[in-house]
Amino acid sequence: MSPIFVIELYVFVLAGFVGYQVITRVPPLLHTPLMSATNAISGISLVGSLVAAGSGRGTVTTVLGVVAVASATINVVGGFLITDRMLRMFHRADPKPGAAKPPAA
Amino acid sequence: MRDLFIQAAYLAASVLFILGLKSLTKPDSARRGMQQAALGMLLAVVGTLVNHEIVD
Repeated sequence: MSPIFVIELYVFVLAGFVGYQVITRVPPLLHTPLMSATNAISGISLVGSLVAAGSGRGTVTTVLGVVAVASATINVVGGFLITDRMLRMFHRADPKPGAAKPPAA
Repeated sequence: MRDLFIQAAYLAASVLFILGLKSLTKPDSARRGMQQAALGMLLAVVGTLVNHEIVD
């Protein structure tokens, strides 16, 4: 086991704990925007596809990288827009007394 | 120097992602948290694009 592998194992295990603790506290009311948000955040693979598209290791790599960048960008932008729209509907449809209201968009 | 900026951008992005997911525990703070997560995504993309190999 190389030292780098051990460090990566630490990061993996600690990230698992953080994810579990964050996700279990989300109330069932917000599970649908949680799914949408995690889908949008999983578009961080856009970073990897940017590296692949820009590495310049041949035509096949570049073409596949450009396709990956386009798909990941659609996923990220659409995912965040849809999550925001969903949460806006939550504010309108579920008014609570005492909670600060955002202005109607 | 540039490598340090890239690593700092990735670290800030992951912190913003975790804070954004954490804000989903309350409906009041959910929208702001998602905007934080979107800012984190922007940081990660910008941090990648300043890499030497991609944009000269």
